Amino acid sequence: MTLIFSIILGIVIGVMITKYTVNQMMKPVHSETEATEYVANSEFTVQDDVFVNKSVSKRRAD
Amino acid sequence: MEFNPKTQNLKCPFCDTEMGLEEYKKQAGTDASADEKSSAKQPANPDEEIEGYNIYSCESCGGEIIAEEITGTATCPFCGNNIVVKEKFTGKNRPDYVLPFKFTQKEAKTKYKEYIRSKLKFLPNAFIDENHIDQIRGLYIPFWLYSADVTGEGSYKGDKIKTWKEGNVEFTETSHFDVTRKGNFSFSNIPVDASKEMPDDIMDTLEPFDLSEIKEFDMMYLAGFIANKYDVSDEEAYPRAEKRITNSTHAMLSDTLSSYNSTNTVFENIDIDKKKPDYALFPIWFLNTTWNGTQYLFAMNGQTGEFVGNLPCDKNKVTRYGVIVSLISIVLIYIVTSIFVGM
Repeated sequence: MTLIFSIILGIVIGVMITKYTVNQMMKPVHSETEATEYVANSEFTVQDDVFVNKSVSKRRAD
Repeated sequence: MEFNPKTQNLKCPFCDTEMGLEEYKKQAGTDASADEKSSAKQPANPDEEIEGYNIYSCESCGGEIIAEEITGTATCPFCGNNIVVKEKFTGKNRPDYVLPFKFTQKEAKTKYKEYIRSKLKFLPNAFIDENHIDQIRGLYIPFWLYSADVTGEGSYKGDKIKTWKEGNVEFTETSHFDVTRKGNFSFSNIPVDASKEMPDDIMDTLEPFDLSEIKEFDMMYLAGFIANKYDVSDEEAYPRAEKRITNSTHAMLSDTLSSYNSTNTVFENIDIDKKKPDYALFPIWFLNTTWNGTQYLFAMNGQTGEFVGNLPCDKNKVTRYGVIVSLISIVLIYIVTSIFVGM
């Protein structure tokens, strides 16, 4: 049982690592969707956090 | 004369004489023909027009050059003179700025070899062995530089969750908040390429450019390189900049909500006041290589040396790598699981 579990999980992890490595190494071209490095100035004029209410729930800890 | 990226001067490729741009301009001022010789004129006869192409005459030898409409610089095939089509960079077509090349062609080739060496793990051996560069070109690519003042505001529902235990009872307290955020953000010089033939993703990956080194446009920087006029207008290119501004503003607003365990957006409004964009030319080295009948394009930022390009994968090498990683994972998981099962 342990062996079967290890083989299945090992193959899944192996495929995922391989896919990730190939993508990182061989397909480095991407489209830029943000421009945060071009922010010359930023200023927050409103940062309000208004407390509304609170609720408490309880359950038996196992 | 050619622009030398190493010394940032103009250099004669025949006698190696070098002089600064200002010095050259002074000399050209006293000898007007020097500047004339490095330019090309469009013949007045419209019968000579070919659709999509223009015919120019070299001011140095009089040879006729047929080039695409957007072509801004070329080398005369008859006398080898580097020419600039002045009308492509004057009047309303004149760029505001230019970022000069800092890397030479030789350095671009070296970077390409280093890039290939760093990818050996999955590259087909035949690609490495037979690899050769078909073409290497130094191009000034037209870019629009967008600046904008942005007001971003949003209203959110935020929850903070606290848990604790008393005896064998676990308590969860959820505090609910109404959250409001408003801010002003200034974006400056977001580059978007203004050339239809350049792949947008490659241009994006070559960022960032160091704009502290940008210069007022001067045609002298183009000498020895290829430069084209923009063929994507400011309005056509703007949606790409707008998307980046919107995403970044959303990200900055969201960053201020990190103290909450969960948030829901009630509304968010991003108002962009776009300013008139600047038009600039940025330096890129392009390399082409062919393998198995497919062309692979690589590009290097001519200012920073950032190198990008997609490469072919060897399926056998990828499979071998996957099998090894899977085997190692299986052994490690088996050992760890056996220890836990045995406990």
